[in-house]
Amino acid sequence: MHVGQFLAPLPSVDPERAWAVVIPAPFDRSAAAAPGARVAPAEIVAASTQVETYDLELGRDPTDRGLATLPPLEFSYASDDEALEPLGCAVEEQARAGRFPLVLGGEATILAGTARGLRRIGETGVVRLEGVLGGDDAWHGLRAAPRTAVRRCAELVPVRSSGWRLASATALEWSTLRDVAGPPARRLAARPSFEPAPPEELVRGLPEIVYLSLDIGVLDPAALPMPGNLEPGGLAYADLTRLLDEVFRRRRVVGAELTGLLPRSGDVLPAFVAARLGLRILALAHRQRFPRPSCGE
Amino acid sequence: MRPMSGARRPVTFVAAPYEATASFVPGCAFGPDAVAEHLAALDTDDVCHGVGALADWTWVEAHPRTLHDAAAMRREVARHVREALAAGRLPLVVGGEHTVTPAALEAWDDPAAVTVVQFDAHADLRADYEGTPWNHACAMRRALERGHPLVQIGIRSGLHEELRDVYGPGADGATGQLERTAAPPARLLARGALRSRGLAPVMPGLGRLLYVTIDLDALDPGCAPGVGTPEPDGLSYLELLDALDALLDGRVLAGADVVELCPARDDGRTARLAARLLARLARHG
Repeated sequence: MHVGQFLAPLPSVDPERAWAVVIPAPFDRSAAAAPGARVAPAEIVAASTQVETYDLELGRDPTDRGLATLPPLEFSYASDDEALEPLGCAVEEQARAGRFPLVLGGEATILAGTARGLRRIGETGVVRLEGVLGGDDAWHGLRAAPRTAVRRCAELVPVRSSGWRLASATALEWSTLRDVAGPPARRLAARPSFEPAPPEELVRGLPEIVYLSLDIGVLDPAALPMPGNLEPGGLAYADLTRLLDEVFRRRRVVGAELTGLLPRSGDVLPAFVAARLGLRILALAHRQRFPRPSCGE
Repeated sequence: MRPMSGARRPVTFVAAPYEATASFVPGCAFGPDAVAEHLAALDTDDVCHGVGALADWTWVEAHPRTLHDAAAMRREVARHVREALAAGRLPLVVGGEHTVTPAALEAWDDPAAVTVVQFDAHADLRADYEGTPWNHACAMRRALERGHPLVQIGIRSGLHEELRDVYGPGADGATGQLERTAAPPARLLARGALRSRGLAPVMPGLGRLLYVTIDLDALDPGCAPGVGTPEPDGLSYLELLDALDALLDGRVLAGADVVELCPARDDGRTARLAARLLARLARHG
């Protein structure tokens, strides 16, 4: 499958010469609400070709210094999280080469594969933002599912999950005991007469180097109307971009993934939201990697 | 009426699919069906929304969807709410158009003791509209006439005439808040004033017993697009939850309703939100 180039940089860039690489990961096995995650990378890339590459708020163009897009990963039907090993290898390879990997999922489960690569790299934690706390041990008999992704990750590397607005009692209990549960959406969403939780809560207990795992279902249906994202009380787009900025200010982010998009027939908005978030994450990483000299230097 | 401490009251959902005066996009008669579908779909294992409060609930149909006679609707809705109260249950009415609210209020014999708290985009204070006093644009006027104290929150649409009728000839919507001192008392907090001043201006208007009526167009069309008369700049779901928690802190929920869901304009998110609101209100049983 060919998905094109994220943000359509011209001329096409050799991955070896890029500072960041986009990795399409169309993994779609166990999403509860509806299928469709398998086409999400292609939809996001297609939408990204209509997104201006200069992030106005950050003053960064992530295609500057080279941005490449790899061919989509292929996943076997091996059992559970074994099938996600190619993703762990891809993230590990790019991070070891000093490049910033941006993975385009695929269902939120892919964190279980990413964590395999991060474990081998070592000394890396995961900042997770998601709509449903993925702290269950199994889901309908599956070890690898969106609702178990954080649990599988925590078995390999430190992880902290925030922004959720659904959680099973067992997931919340396990996540709280392990200090995996960060603030839920209700404590993070800005609104009048309310003081949100301090952003430090998102990274508390994590090492200095982190990987960002963003399940797009953390957004409210108002910001992201798509199948499977009906629960009210999620983050606004501005909440999310503020929190992403805070994470990058507090930790060195070596890679990121954007998961959980379920494209809706006839509506391009969800894919555009995902593409804009991909641009923002790359722009934040660009700012962190290539700080401009301050005045007087 | 039992205080909030101790075991929660079981809940009776009173479906009132009444639609006779919808003035723009029709379809709210199908609201209860959509809510029922989403109530059944709520994740019962979830601990974030307090769905456990729905462990003991029943669903009754007050009248058929084809009923268009206001007098019959009033009689049936009031009867079902009265029966729920007599059985020690919390009545939660599922509309239907906003006209079902004054019908439900007829179940209380001492209206002065039950403050009506209205979340809405519209004031709904007209004396009559399109030839009938039982129009959804008149719902709160009927509540006031029964003698219920009234607190209106999030309002961003209303006629100067209806506001003057209720709040006096000097009523100036630009102030963002209005107060009526004559009995029964009333207070209005417009959307902008809620944002800038919080709930403080209306808190003195609250009694101990509250009846909460939520017209879904109080919410922003982004989070609740499935309404017949959408208005921009509404509340977010979390703002509404914050407000409900503050208003009900130390007070007793006598009953409540969620009205004006229009499934024809919805992609599911408004019905899910309505179900979540009802589950949330059930926690205050």
